[in-house]
Amino acid sequence: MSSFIVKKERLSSYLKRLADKFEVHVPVSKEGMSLFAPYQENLELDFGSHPRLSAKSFFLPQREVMLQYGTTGEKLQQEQAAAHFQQLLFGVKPCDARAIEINARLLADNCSQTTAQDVYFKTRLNTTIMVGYGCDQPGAACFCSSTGGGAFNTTGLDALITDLGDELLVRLFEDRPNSQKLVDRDLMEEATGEVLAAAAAIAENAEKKMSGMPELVKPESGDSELFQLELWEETAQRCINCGICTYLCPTCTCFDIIDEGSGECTTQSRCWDSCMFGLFTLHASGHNPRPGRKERLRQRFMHKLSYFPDRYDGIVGCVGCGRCVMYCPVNIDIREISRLMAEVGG
Amino acid sequence: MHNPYTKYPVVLHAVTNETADKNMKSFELHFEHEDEADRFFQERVFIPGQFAMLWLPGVGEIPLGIASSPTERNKLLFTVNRIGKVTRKLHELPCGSVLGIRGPLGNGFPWQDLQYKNIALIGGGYAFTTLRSALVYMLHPGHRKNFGDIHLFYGARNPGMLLYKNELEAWVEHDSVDAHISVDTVGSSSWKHHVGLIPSIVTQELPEADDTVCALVCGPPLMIKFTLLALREKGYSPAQVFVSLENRMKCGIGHCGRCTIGKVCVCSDGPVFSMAELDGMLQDY
Repeated sequence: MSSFIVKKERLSSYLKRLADKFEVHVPVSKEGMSLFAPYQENLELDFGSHPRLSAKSFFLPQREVMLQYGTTGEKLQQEQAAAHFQQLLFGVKPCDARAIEINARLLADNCSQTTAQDVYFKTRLNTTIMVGYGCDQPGAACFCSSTGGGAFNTTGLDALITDLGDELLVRLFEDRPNSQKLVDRDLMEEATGEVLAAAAAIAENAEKKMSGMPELVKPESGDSELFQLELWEETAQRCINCGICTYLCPTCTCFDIIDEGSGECTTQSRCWDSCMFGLFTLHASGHNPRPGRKERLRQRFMHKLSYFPDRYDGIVGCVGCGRCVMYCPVNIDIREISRLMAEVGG
Repeated sequence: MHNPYTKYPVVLHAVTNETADKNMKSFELHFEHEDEADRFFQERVFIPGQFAMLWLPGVGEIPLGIASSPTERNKLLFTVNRIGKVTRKLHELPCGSVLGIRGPLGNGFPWQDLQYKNIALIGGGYAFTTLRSALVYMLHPGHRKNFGDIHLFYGARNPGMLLYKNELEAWVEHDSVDAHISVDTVGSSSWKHHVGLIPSIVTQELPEADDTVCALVCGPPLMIKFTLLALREKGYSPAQVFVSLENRMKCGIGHCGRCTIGKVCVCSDGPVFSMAELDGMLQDY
């Protein structure tokens, strides 16, 4: 592993040179929220805040055209929507990067039971460079270390930054070939052992802030027992099925496919969908396997905490980013649900 | 990289009205490109029991069980109820229209396990489509010797609602098929088959199970429920019965998240499940 120092006064020059080669996105504050925006000079960067939307949008955009069709006479022409420029996300939170790896298990894994891979997601996975920003100030609702991650977890990242005050330590991960594209010898210097020790102390301190929280793990009880808990009915009385948890969740990847246009030019697009919505599962016949709030709410938590780990080596479908906890209008808390699910039979 | 969302262009070749209420029509589609038909109909790629996504440009894409058999080379048949946005539009399309196909998708019936067995095909109503595929496949001279006796149970609300009327008589007369066609109510006095619900016809007519039998069941949820009870009473074990499930789907490849039942994905793990698998499934469908 190679580690470099970038002095903060050189950061804008460094980013500018990266932006010559890549489509660089950086976190900025806008209308009271932190968001990723395309890099421009003189942007005020906001590495500290937690972005409202996770990095999911860069791999599975909220809406994307998948295929374009023209029908001329009896011929059908189809074109796959063009591949985009190589993306570089600079300042991604480790939880959000780890979520992309989790999403890849479903959408881009060769070993899954279906051999189909999502070509759009997979292309972005191969071409996107992610530079993480170690969370030295975990948020009030953060619990990444309870889900198998951590404030300085490196899963899914090509490099990780530690903020040392006047300078940034950039650790490059050599098992990720794209990491070498981040080296800029004119603006970086090799990090000394002293600097590395200081960075390790910062990381350790951040982890400490989140210690003592209960682990989010797959409950020991079987699905059929969990499925029948009173918990779902009780919690559903509060839930309004607004879907904000699924939109903000970095590991929620359900989507809808829609056809638009008419005549000679039509497109097939997809957009995020949500298991919180009744239409999600409604059959044409009128039958709905998940007809009410209870069934839909249960689906979300059972999927995250039981079905997903069952299929994918015990990994829970939650990275502890805390967004659903922060923004749920009725204060439904996945940590609490997880605790109640774990208590069953115990 | 292969894009699983790319469609094979197909042309609507013929439309047959199937039922007296005119809500069920069969659509015969032909591939525009020979090489794509070859790929679709490749042996062990397309097997009866699978489904495909049928796409109407600018309208939408829907999952449909494939009603034709792999032995009916290049003829792709779907029998479709007029019920939603896409199927309404499909029912109005003129022959010659260009559509798109993705597939074949899903696991299909477990043909390895079915070899040399006596097979009961049990279907009700609209869901007989993939059983037609299975029956035509087993009756094909190239496959006939791989299967024992065929017991066919097929029921509809009334004689007018039976699908594939042109073929039904031939199946009934076929030496290899022990056919039991049934309707809930008879419209005319010329009806010469059973009257009654499929589960009770199965109870009356299907021989007791031994280790040489397997049953394939397709139908509406209530019919499936009572047919499975009847089969258990006949001594069918959970590993000898296979059921095809349906759920709303968009992608057909296990990604979009809506056809799941617990940790099972109907499109990519199914749509065909053994009764043993069904017994272990959550009641979320």
